[in-house]
Amino acid sequence: MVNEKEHGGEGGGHHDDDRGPRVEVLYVNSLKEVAFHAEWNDTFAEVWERAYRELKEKRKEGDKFQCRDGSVDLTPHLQLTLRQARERGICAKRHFQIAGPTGGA
Amino acid sequence: MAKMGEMPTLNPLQGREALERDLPPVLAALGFRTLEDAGWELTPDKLSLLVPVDGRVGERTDHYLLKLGFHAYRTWPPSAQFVNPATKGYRYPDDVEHLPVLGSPEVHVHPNYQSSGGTLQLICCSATLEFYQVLHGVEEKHVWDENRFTFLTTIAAIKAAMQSSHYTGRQPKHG
Repeated sequence: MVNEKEHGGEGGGHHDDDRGPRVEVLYVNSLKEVAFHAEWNDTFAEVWERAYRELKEKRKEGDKFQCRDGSVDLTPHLQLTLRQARERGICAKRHFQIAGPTGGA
Repeated sequence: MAKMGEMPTLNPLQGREALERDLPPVLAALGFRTLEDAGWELTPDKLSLLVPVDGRVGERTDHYLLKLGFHAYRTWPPSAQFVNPATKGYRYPDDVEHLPVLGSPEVHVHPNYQSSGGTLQLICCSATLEFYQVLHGVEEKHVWDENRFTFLTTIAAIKAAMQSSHYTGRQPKHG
């Protein structure tokens, strides 16, 4: 039940060194996915913003930025850089997702 | 198309086909090749999907089983019920302990919701079928979009709420 894509290995490789860390972001509501090279000093907030541009989607109030399997909400970590996240083992493979808001309650 | 205040109509044949169509891209998007890789299970009638969902309080992790039903999918979102892992069903009040206490602004679990049609377990969220069956009020922007959303929208919404501070543990055992 371990998601290899998310948890397997340390993430990163020689391409990360050459061109910056590769990140993948899934837009849950459309299953559209983008991949791009970021900078180690980019924060999760910056990666999230760029993902919207790459996805050609607009941010909606209540959108959430998460690790790919939804097990970790990155909202408390938005100011962490990718380097700091790697050191702390947060979303080691850098596969993220954007989940949209719902109504309820 | 899903509309506010409209009672969903069921179409199991269409729902089964839609699930069959959506499963491969959803699994691929999550990095899985098979249902087994994901830890999910399809029921024999291929109309329901069993999805383990965890909730955390401090260092403690609680395990739940979410049953998604595709009888009105994709015109409407999947039905979503937390079930007893042994029976794969839910009977009130015997199975209450298999439900989380969850009261987030986006997802609220009611073990025994009273509606005009009777009582039911309601995962009150605009990405579940029951939400529309009880004719719950909803903002237009949150209405299920059959052309865009898949059942992953439902799973993601419930998982996100379960990871939030609005999850506070297991429902107390009845009696």
